[in-house]
Amino acid sequence: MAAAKQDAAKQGGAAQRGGPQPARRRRPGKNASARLVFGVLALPLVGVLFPTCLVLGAGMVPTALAFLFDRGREKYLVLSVAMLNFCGILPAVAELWARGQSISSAAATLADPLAWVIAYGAAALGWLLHMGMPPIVSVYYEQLTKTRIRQLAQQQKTLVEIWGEDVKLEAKSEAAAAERPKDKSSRSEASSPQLDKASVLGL
Amino acid sequence: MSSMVSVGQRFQVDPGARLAQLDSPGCEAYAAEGSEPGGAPLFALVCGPELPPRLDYFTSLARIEKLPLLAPLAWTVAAWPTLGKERYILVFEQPGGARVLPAPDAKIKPLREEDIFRKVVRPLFPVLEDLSVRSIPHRAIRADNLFYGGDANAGAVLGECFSAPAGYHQPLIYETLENAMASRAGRAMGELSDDLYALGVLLAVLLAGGNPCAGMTDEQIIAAKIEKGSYATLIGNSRTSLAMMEPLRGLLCDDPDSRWRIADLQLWLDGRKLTPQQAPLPTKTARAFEFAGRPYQDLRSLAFAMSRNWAEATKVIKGQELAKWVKRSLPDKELAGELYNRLAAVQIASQRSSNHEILANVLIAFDPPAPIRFPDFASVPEALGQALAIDFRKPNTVEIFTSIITARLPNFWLEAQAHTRSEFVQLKKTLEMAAFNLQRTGWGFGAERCVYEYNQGWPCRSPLFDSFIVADIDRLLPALERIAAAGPPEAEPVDRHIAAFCAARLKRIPERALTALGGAQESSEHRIGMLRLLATVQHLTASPPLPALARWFVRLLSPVVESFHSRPYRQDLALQIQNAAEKGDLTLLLTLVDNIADKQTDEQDYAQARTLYAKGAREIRWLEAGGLTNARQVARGSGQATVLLSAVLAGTTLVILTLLYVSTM
Repeated sequence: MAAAKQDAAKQGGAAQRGGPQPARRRRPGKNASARLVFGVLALPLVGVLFPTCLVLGAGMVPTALAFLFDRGREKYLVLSVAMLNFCGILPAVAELWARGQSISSAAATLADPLAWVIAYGAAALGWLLHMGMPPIVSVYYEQLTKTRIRQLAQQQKTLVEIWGEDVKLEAKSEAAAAERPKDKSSRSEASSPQLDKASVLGL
Repeated sequence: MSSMVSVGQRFQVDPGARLAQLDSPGCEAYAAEGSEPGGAPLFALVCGPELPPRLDYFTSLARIEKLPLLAPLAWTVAAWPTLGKERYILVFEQPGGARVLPAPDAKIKPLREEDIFRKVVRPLFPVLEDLSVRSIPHRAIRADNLFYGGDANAGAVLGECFSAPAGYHQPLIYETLENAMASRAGRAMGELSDDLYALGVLLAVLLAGGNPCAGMTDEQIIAAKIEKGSYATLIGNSRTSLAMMEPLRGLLCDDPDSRWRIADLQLWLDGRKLTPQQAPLPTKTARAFEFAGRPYQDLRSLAFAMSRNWAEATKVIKGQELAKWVKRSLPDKELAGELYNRLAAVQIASQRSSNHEILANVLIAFDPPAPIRFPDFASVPEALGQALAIDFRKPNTVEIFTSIITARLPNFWLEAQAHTRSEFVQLKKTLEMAAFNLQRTGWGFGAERCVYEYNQGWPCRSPLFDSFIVADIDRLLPALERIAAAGPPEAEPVDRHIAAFCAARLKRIPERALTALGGAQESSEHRIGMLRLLATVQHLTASPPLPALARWFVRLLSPVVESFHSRPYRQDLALQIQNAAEKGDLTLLLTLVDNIADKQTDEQDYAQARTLYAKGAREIRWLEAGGLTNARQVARGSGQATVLLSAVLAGTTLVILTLLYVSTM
């Protein structure tokens, strides 16, 4: 019974983690200063590595598009597309660096259709993964739900076998409370007993 | 022939051989035989259930030989076949002849003085002397308890005095005034002086050929003794010789200090002439007081009359007439003042005491040597415990006893006595303990505790022991075991009487064993307390295993097992309890059912189980409501999965590209 308890506690915790998480509060002051620092550091790099930035900029247009399309807070689409998009543009960047950091090399690299195909193809793969994952995850979650409900039901059955039907009392009262509409006026009518004046007045 | 009943190793009693002529009051006589052939004929008295015999004197009298007294040869407690219940059985040697007086109210030919002297007084003197040395009062000296000897010249034999409490069966005329005014149960155990008085009455009865006060009621006898004295009441105008008048006056003296002692009787037997002192009669008052239509001219008679008419007496003491009469009529002015003040205080006393207590108090003041009197109750202080024990089941006895003790009437009685005796010190301690026990009403205390505390050898009066005699603590558990083995009753194995009996007989019982009985009756806590008490008794008395009694407790304590929430624990506990019951070890059983630590653990685990169940139910509800499969959850999950997969693919690609780049360099 103790092992079942611990097991249930673990599983209960996992289910709890699957529930909604509290929102993190952002600190606007801290974000602005981070951007400022990034900007100060990034500008010189852009200046020095302008050809590379050109190639990266052109090759990672799908990522920018993903950023526009992705309304979610976590930006999963952006991340997925960005990582693959970056991997796709890397060979072109490597080729640019092999040719040397110049505008002409950058133009030559960008003129290579294979570079576009690889970069945009990788980004497309990321996009496809993002679009194709929900049905798979949905099926997985459904199975997980069924399995978990079975486990919990078995745990409850074990608890009833050990402790009797009365072990359900707390759960029943919670369920009843959850179903009851929250109406303050009905509480004063239904739950307060008839006033015992003699008792109140100490007679 | 009915199966014989053994008394010890040496004697057998035949339940089919009745000897009614040897019955004692409340007891039946049966033929008995000894193991030695050719011995004297024997008989056994089978005592009644209500009054235990005076076994405390058995050992002292075991060696009394060759004296004309029926002393018990052996005794036992055994199941009597015709009743199927246990009884005390006492074995005696049969007297040689018949009773001198066949029955208390019988008439016989008056004995000659010569015969009384030769066949009664002289033979009985050594008995009285021996009993005096052993400090054993006989308290059953009467004509119908006297037997003729085996032949015409043999002296009389005094009958037994062990089958009932001291003086209980004595007709009123044989009792001194103080004991006569008490109820049978409230008579003092007495001393030799009471036996000598009874001897004097015996002589008067033999001289008269029967009861000299036949036709008089008990009240009339007492009133006459108060007014005229015992000698005048019993002898009156009968003709007696001067020789016989001496012992009669001496023995029947109502003043115990002036009454003949054993030495005086010895001197008379030796032929010395003595001048017995006559006890002064109660002092007459100047004027009579009229009570209930009759005039009374002394306090003692008035007090006796008032004790017999309680309603009228209560009215009188609250009025002014009695106080005025006391003040004006008593010759002893100091006493008059005292009594007047006491009567004047009645009005104040009635605010905090009951009428009974107030009147009892007044009666003590009027007649200090008399017993403590209440409506339908009268007892000398030293016999209060005995009166409580004998009359316990009569209505109001417990309430009367409690009132007497809590109103401190015995203490007032002691203070009112003219002479202090050494026994008063012990009596005061006894009364203090009685008051203490009565204050506590829990099991093991109260009136029941007083019964067993102040009557050593009194059997336990629990209704469970209707068929058993449990007079000492060693017999308690075997009796309960037999009751349990015969099919335990629905009742519980401990009641107030049993608890009080254990507490009184076993001084080593810890307080905890009694306070554990404090729970509500029939509750588990209360029953565990019972088990604790009997387990303590089993341990302290080194009693053998009691499997049937243990099973009785197992049945009663099944709610304790059921009170545990955990089913596996219940089964395990039930099995352990069964095993403990088979062993008959009550202490082991107690450790199983009174395990507070396990109970607490069970409660905690049960609370956790309920919480866990509720948590599981919450999670099921959440899952069934689509907590995990709703769109938002799927979107987040799929997003995370996609990112993860993308990261893996990107990472792999990076590694491959790096390896390729390095290899081409």
